[in-house]
Amino acid sequence: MLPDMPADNITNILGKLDELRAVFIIGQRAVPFIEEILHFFKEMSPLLDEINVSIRDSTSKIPKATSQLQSVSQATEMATTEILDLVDAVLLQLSRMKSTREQAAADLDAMGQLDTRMVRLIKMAYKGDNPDLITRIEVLHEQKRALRKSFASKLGQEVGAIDAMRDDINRIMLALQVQDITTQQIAAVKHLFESIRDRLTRLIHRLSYADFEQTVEELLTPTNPGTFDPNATYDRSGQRQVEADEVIAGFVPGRAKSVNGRAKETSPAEPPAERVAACQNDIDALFAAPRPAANPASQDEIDKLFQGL
Amino acid sequence: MSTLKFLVVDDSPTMRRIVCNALREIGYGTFVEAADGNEAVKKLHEEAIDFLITDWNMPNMNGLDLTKTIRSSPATESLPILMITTRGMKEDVIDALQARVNNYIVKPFTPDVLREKIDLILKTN
Repeated sequence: MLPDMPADNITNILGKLDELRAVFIIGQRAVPFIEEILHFFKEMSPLLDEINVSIRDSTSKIPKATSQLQSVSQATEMATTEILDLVDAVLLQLSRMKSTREQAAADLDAMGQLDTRMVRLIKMAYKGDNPDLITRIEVLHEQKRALRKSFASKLGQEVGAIDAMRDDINRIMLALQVQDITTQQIAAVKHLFESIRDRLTRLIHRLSYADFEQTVEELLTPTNPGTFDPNATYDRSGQRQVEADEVIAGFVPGRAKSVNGRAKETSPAEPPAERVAACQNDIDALFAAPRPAANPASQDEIDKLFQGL
Repeated sequence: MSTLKFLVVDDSPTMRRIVCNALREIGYGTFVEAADGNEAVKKLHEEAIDFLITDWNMPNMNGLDLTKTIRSSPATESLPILMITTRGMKEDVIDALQARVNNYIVKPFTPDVLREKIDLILKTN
């Protein structure tokens, strides 16, 4: 023991030394781990650089991708317009053809009436004088009537065929609604790309690629998300409508039936948590009952509308 | 051919043509067109319109806001409005109902459905 040093101090120093030794022991154990971390960061550094380059590269390609999507929409719009032009031209031509044939049928009918009057006059003129002539005229008149009937039948068949063609052409025209629907789907994808671009740009900004961010901002014009329906689908199967009908039937408190006649009594239910597709029948049901003249309808009022069906 | 004058509002020229052709097919031959809600409001001020058919998703002013605008003006508040849209969610239909559209069709539609809805609106109005 050192002279002039109290025993408590010595004890304290020894305690501190023990703590210091414990720290060294922990440090000794931690050193390999820290070395591993350092090694990991050394390896990660080029990888992070690569990621940065990759992000920058991907981000720079997004304007081109969105531009290509825009081109697809424009191309389909142009093609659809051309098809609609042709459809209009064919419909006009069919309309003229139908009109011509209907006029021909009317003329044929008028011709028959004239023939009948002419035969009647001949009969009056040669009454009893030349029975053979009258008989021959009647035979000819009958043959002509049969020919007119056959011709009228053919005209009728042609008018029917024209109507069928018009129906088909109209169906083609209606199928072109797919263009509007796909355009909205493409706009939704374009919007998604732009959202990704925005996030990548922010990330690049954090990585100090400020100049690049500015370049990307200049290249892109954001899409207005209000101009498209991200859920747009070209569904002609009716399945979507049937499913929606079931959901809405379950939603309407005390509603006896839906417009398509499928009965389903329900108890008051909570609105469905997820967005569900409505079918045309459900939509009809919503609008079938009288509506209040002023002010937006509340949920209670809408429920009453359903109950009124 | 009916003499009712329709205003067809859709940002897609294709859809405007399809709707107008369908109208012609079912016996309505008089219509004017607008590409968005703003243009539709302008047309409504310029000429007498008997019936409005509108899309929902449009730039500048969408169909829902157009409907609200029309309903808020005494001059046009009773104008029949039919919405034709891709939006088929139940919430969408309720939103349209709250905005006071007269009826609602989900695309793709057929002339028969269009005729049915127009007849219904004209009958109830």
